[in-house]
Amino acid sequence: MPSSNLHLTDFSDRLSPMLVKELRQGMRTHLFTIAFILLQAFMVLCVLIGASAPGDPQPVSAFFWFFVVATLLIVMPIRGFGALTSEMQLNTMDLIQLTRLGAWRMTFGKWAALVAQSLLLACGILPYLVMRYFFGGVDVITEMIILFWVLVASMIFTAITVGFSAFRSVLLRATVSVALFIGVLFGLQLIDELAGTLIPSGGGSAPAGTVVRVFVGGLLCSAYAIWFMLDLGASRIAPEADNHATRKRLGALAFGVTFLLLPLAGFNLIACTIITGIVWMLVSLDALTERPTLLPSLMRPFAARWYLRPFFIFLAPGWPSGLFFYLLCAGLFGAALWFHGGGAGLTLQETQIMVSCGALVVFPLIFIHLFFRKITEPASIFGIYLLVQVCFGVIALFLMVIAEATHMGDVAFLIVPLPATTLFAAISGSGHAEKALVLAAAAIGLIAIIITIFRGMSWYRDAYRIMNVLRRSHS
Amino acid sequence: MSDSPNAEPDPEKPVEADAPSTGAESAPPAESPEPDRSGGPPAIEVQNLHRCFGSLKAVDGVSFAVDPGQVVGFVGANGAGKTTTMRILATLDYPNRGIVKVCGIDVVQYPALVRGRIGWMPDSFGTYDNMTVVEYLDFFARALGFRGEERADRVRDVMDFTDLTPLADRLINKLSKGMGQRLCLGRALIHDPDVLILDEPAAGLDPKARVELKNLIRILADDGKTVFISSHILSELGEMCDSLLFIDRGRIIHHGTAESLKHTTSGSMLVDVQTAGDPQKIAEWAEMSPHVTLKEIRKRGARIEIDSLEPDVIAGVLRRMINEGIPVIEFHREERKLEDAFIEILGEIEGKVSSD
Repeated sequence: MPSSNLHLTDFSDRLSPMLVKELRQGMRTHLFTIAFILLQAFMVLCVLIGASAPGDPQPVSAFFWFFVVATLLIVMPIRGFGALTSEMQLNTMDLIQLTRLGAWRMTFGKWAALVAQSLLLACGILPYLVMRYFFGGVDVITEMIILFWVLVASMIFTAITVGFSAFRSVLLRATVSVALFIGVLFGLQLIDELAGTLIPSGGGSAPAGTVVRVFVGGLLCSAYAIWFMLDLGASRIAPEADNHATRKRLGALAFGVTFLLLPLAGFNLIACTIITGIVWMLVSLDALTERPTLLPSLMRPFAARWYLRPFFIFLAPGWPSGLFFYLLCAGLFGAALWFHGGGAGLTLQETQIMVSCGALVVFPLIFIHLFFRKITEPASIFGIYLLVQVCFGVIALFLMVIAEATHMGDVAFLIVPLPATTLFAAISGSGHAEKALVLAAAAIGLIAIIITIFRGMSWYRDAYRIMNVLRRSHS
Repeated sequence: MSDSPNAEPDPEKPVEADAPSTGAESAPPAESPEPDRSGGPPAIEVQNLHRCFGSLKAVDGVSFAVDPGQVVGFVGANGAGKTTTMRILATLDYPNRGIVKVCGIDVVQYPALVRGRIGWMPDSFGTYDNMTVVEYLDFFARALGFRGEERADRVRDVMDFTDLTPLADRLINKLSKGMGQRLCLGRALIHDPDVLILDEPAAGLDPKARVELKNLIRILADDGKTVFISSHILSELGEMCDSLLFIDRGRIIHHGTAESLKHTTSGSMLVDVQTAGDPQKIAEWAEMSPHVTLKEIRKRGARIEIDSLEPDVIAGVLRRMINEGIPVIEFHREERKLEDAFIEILGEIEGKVSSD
């Protein structure tokens, strides 16, 4: 059986089993082969056009980068949407869970295999970059840096699609795709604005220290985004007895605190604050839609040490503790702003943005806990959460357009004083009834928190009882 | 077969008591035929197992024990609670209440240790695209922690055992159902588990594939493995199992050997009567005779049930038939089919429920 022996040694033992499996399968798929051949063909075409018409490299560059970006940022990441769903549909998830591959290693392996294929495609592009330098007169270093960041973005996009592939609902995944697209557009704008604050305008080059900080900050954010998205997927496919919530929350806290302290080392305060705010909002979203669970095996580590017990209410899996985690993040964020502001208060617009963002995170809980009480499946809760946000986001956009186009802005915003509306009003800086909108957003946020605490009361009681039993058994 | 790469439970570390929320209550296991307590703990021990999905009680106080080396059939209608019980044993689901142990290890407390001791074969087997038989087994061998030569040996051993070596380079989705089941069994055996949990392994197989699978299971049992197997094909279970567990609506309703079921269920016996005359006469006679119920009219006779095992009563039935002028040419005891026994037990349970 020589051929079989050959197959057993084609990949090192050090590689993740899931990576080996996915590479074996992935390299045989038509999509990868077609993408590889097409990309090579377009690269050859670009080089030939560049060589035949030397001079202005701009049109050829646009053509060249369009295909690179389309392949690495669209074609390859999209394959991730089926990564975990396919295992669920094939009924093979159980079989894998019985091995030593945990949910994390499984998700990471899927992602790593797709990224490895993207890297293979990128390596195929490198010779054409160098050729374009000789024929087209382009700056090869700049192009290499661009390719590097395109690859990093490809890794993040792949992590997002792999992470969301844990959700069975096609509708949910489609919504995420659209949100991703919109997010990329807004993200690019945000990056542009942040870059404007970091790198001086007027044609001068940025100081080396700033460039290094942007590079380090970008890599840190990318690494965290990849880790978070993969762990999001892993936590959704993991057995209930696996605790992913605690490490996700600890990771978010570590990341946020680091970024809130980075301005002390010369990093840009606005950039660090915005990034931390976005990360904590996303992690709170995840925490607030988790399955409430009270498995003793998950609670035992908290009960075992007296100094860990107080952290249970912030870090235990489930939305009831997720609410307190959210409040902790909000408190830390407010304290950091106060500290960096030297104790000075925020402007009314800044307050409006902060309060609106805070209320925006908890606002859908009103609907979830009042009207969808019987729904317990985390994926469904997550779907409802997104649906509520999308619906009210659309209303807010609509009102913003009305407010801009008419002189009825105050009335329009006050009719629906919901967090999304007040946030748009604050961002647009329209100055419409700012104080009233802050109060409205704060009141809605408070109502959502009270309803959530009330709904989680039985969980808190049971958790307290079980923690006491576990504590006694340890002592 | 080589040892499992998974860690053995630490003998110094006792298995902890059941956790508070599972609310374990001790209950005696259901009657087990000829329990062998000479060795270690039972291969499978289930005490007062409860599992609910919302308001549905999928498993409702199940208790039983299986000794090492036994082949036990798990029988029940669709939705009776078989798969839920098996999934809990395989650490893929968790109990709301009760204690479940495999090889003495609690499945809730130490699922990772239990996973090293069990091989699980689900009722439906999903196939990967673009993957060969050998790659499939190699993936699971890697995932179970085997490295280098040991991994290659494990894959080779399993392929030899399941007779898949000639198909090593064939794509999995091109395999027949029978070959797929052999591959699935091979995957479950990669780490040489002590206990095999097989959920409907023979479902959808042709007769030849069924015989092959049965032979493989018999070899595994002879090798000392404990096999816990569910199936709808009771006659096959009867041939290969040391004992049978019947489950209905989440409760164990019977635990015994196939032989005992065939002969002693409800204290009656089945008799095949062959006659030289009209079989219809037996039916007419049976209607008026005490202790006798007609079960089936056959081409040259009938099958009757005598509601007693007393020799005098049985002899009296034969005597009365001859006296009534029925030309009996053969009168012999017939083994009860397992299907009949199962349905009879179900009927008894239903009767009890309705009388309550």
